[in-house]
Amino acid sequence: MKTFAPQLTARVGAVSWGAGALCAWALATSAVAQPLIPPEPTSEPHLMYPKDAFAEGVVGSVDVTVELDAMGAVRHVGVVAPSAIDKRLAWAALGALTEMTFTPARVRDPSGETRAVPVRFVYNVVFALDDDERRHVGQHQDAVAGGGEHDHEPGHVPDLIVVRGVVRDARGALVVGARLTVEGKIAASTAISDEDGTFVMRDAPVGAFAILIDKEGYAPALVEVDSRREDEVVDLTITLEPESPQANETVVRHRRSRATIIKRQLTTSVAVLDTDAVMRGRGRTLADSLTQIAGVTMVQLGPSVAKPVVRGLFGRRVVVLQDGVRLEGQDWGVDHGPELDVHSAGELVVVKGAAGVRFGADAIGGVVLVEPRPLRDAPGMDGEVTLIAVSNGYRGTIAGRLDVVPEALPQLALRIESNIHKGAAVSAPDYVLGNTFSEELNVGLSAAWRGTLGGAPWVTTATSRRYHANLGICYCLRLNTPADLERATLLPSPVNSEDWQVLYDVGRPYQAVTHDTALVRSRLTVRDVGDMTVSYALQRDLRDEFDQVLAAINGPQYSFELVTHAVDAAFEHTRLSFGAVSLTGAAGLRGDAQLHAYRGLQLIPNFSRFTGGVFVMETLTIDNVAGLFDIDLVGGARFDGLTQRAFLAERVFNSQVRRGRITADDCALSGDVARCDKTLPAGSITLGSRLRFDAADVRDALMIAVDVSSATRFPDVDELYLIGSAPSFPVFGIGDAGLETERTTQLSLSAELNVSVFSIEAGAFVRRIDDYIAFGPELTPEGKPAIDVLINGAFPRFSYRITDAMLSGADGGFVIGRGQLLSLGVQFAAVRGLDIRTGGLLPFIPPTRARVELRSFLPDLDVAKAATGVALTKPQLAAGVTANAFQERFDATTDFVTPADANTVWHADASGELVGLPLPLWLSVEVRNLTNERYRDQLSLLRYFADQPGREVWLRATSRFDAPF
Amino acid sequence: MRVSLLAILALAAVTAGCPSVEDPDDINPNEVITAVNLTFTPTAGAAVTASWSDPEGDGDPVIDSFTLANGTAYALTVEFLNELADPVEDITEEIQDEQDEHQILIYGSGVSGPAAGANANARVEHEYGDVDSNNLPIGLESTITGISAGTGDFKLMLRHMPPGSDGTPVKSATIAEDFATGGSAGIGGSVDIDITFPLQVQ
Repeated sequence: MKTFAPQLTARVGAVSWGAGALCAWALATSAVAQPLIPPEPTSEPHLMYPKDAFAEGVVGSVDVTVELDAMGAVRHVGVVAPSAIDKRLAWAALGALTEMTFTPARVRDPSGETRAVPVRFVYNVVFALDDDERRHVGQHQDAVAGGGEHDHEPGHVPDLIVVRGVVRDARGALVVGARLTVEGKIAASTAISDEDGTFVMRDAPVGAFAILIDKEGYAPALVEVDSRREDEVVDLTITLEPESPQANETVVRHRRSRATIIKRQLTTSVAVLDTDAVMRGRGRTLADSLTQIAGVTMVQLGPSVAKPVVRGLFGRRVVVLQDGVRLEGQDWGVDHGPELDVHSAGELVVVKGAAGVRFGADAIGGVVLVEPRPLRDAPGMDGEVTLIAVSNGYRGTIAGRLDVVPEALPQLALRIESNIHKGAAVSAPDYVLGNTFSEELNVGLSAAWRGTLGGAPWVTTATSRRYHANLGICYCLRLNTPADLERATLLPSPVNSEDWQVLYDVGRPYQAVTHDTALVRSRLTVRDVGDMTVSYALQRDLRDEFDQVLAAINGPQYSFELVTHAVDAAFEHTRLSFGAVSLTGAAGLRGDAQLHAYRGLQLIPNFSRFTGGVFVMETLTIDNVAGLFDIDLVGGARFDGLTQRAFLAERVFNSQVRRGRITADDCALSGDVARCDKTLPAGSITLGSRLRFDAADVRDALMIAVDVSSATRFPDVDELYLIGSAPSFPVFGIGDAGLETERTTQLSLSAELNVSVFSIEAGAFVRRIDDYIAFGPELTPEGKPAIDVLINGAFPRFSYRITDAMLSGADGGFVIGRGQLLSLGVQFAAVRGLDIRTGGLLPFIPPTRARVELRSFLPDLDVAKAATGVALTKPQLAAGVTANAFQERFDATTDFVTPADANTVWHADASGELVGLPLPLWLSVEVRNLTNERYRDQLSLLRYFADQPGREVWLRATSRFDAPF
Repeated sequence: MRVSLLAILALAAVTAGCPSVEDPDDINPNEVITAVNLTFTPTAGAAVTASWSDPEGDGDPVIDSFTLANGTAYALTVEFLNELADPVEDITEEIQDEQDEHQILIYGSGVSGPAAGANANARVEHEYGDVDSNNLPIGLESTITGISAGTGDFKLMLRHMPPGSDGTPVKSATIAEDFATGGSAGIGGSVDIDITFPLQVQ
């Protein structure tokens, strides 16, 4: 070919080998890029000038991304920025590259050995004309027409997100003028870092892609990003290493979010509320925030005490992890909220279903992960301050966070965060919900040391957190007999509610909860081996519950103290590749010791408890099966064991024996204390498969997964030894010392489609729980409800009994026009719960719910920018409605009152970020229960007595700063 | 760095402590009532007593029945005990001390009176015999008069009505009447005691 023939050049930033050569980077999963031996073409590109374009004199330059697998086979080709390119030229370039063959790219280890790796690179094809070449190209026109098998059809409108961040060098100094280029399948997004080292790339793609960062004097760096449509904004901190002739190695720091990792590891449905979604909902309780996810609802004791319900299960059947530490609190009580500071969350993840293998015993119904924001990487400091004000209850929150990496000690990252909240009683539309005040004071301290151990990156993090809250219980919520409950429900307003005022005062009844966590975690990353993580966590959960009592009594009526020491160790091996097949996985073990001390009105005993578990979980990935899809096959198994000793006062022990709840085998009485031992094994397995299909411009655009998972749950002490009146429900509860584990087996299907401006996700599940421990009314031998006559009334006896349960349901949603001027989001969730043995219905099953929201992503408002320098960016407006159906499936014997009526509740919000001020200021206004609707929530214990809160206006303001040293 | 990590750990371990679990507290200071004693004193003759007692506090009570004479008026005194405490604790005094927040309601199928309303089948009639500092009935002292021979339920509720944070009293002049029409759900406060005795009048 002559000078003006179609040319093949590879272009990636400033590093170029010229025509025919290429520059490529390993798609290594580890955070450290390695010296790469680029692939070499083993065949000539058959480049042909399209006849029509040639005839019309069309010229152009086409960037084509090429992905090779570890065998050197072309896995994928795609045109960059197809909308800007003549379609015929794009097809010609694609056709030529599809047919090319290459040697595999190789990575050279420090030891000097090489191994083949998959790569992605960009080819630049130039179509130019001169008189001689015109004739030559035209001769190959037929072959072009026949070579039209490509993965990518040019002309698709890509789905876009914003990538922004800052570029620094190894000493933390800002790097100005670094060029960032997306190495992806769709858009040749570029950005240049400006005077303060920051960059904004507004048109990055959704899906997995890589950004090349290039700057003279520095080694080129490649940052992998795995973005989701919901991400909208991905924040990166990039550190460039000086260019070095000896080792062409680049440090790349971009952590994959836990959500991404979990989604890859599991084939169960996993839903994520990313940083932006969390920010938009700040100030809500954890459970309230999570209700934005289809299939997640909440049980409530009032406005400030709520726990998440995942596909119909909650409390002891849903594991909550904060920063990877399993929250050990009093999650058995319906009236106990999760004891954690939700402001510490950067992102919230919900595993919608059994995940016993990965998360241990008790993860029967689901898992909630509260993930902190990553600590700072480069020298400097950043932080944010958030103010929240809520009209209803005059609630206010101030939250702050400061992250520092000292210039003199860049290996060290520090964080301090704290928030304080105070709220008065919240109001329903027609009256005040007396005494529903709330107070919270949370503090978190983190320090991370990032060093090396024998050359391997090593990170040790120490974290200490305190959550403290005083939460008022509505005066309206009273323990009454079932008959009174029915009458209370029929009252137009709670008795005496006309006297209740919006007060900040701490009044009985209320809960005072303090949860302390200390965590030390060490992570060692050994190249080509894997990640080893070891952690120790200490938690102390103190819960005091104060009832309205005689003035002579000062203390709480129920006081729980739970201390948990937990050790976790996990090893995650690097991807082992065998051609198109690769294996990732992890194995780990866990052990914990718990001490529980209870003081108060007769309820549950003290205990000491030891649990331990081991697990292994592997994912086999086969790429490009039949040229159609990638497949992940997941398998895992886990074994847990428990040994526990409960200490019962003699009187309580005698009561239980008399009732036949404890037998001579269960406990040994010595002196005035009975020791009740329990040792139980538990096993879980998981098997799943996920098919991933790529679409024209999005990797993994369609994912279909099927999962069979099991999980086992140990009985809690209340289930074994409870005796007493539940403080919030009119029954007399009795445990059964003979209970053993309950086990669930679940089949779930999920599908996720992300193409262009449309996304849809849907899941369906059926879950059988064998030996389900149900808390329900006990019947006499004559088949009548057993009644316990207590001094404060006659109450139905509720006991824990074993049955088999079946839960099934479906949930999902779609969004059309995400990020557009007008987008529509729809969510739907339905769940059914059956007691298989009796044919009855399970209580606390959420009603069918639907949610519709219109959201408008407006263009930036910069009319005043010229005059004031201030502009409003990313403005959004939204309005929506949530509708709950009437729960027609209810059992009058387990719930004494007809379920809550169907309801529709409207909401609206507006938000945007002011830039051009000394610091950017994000502002939002949200109105909840817009129409001040009177309604009752089926899963709120308030529903027997009072309406849900009325209209609430939420104002949120967040300002951030980032000051590199 | 390792040293400071250890220090943090040690500090955390110290602050968390180790709760003592092997020695369960039986009952700590709390508002526990396990027994109610009724004493019916006629103007002449021997007093009638009846007791409702659940000494273990676990829903397994011993309940006396009692017999009153038709046409006779009795002065009823009510006593509340915590038999789990050693020695047995008399809670009556504390209720007396907080008389503005408490009221005893006498009702049931065998009773007519303020809290029972009009009752064609009533065996006895109840009248309050004491008032608190706001001149509202308490019920620690009452008059019970046999009005018709037969049997019925004699129920006694001790209602605790502490004012809320705002200080507005919950106890009002119409508590008994409101209870007669709307039941327990129709009045404020919470139930400390709600017990039933079998009653006979002859």
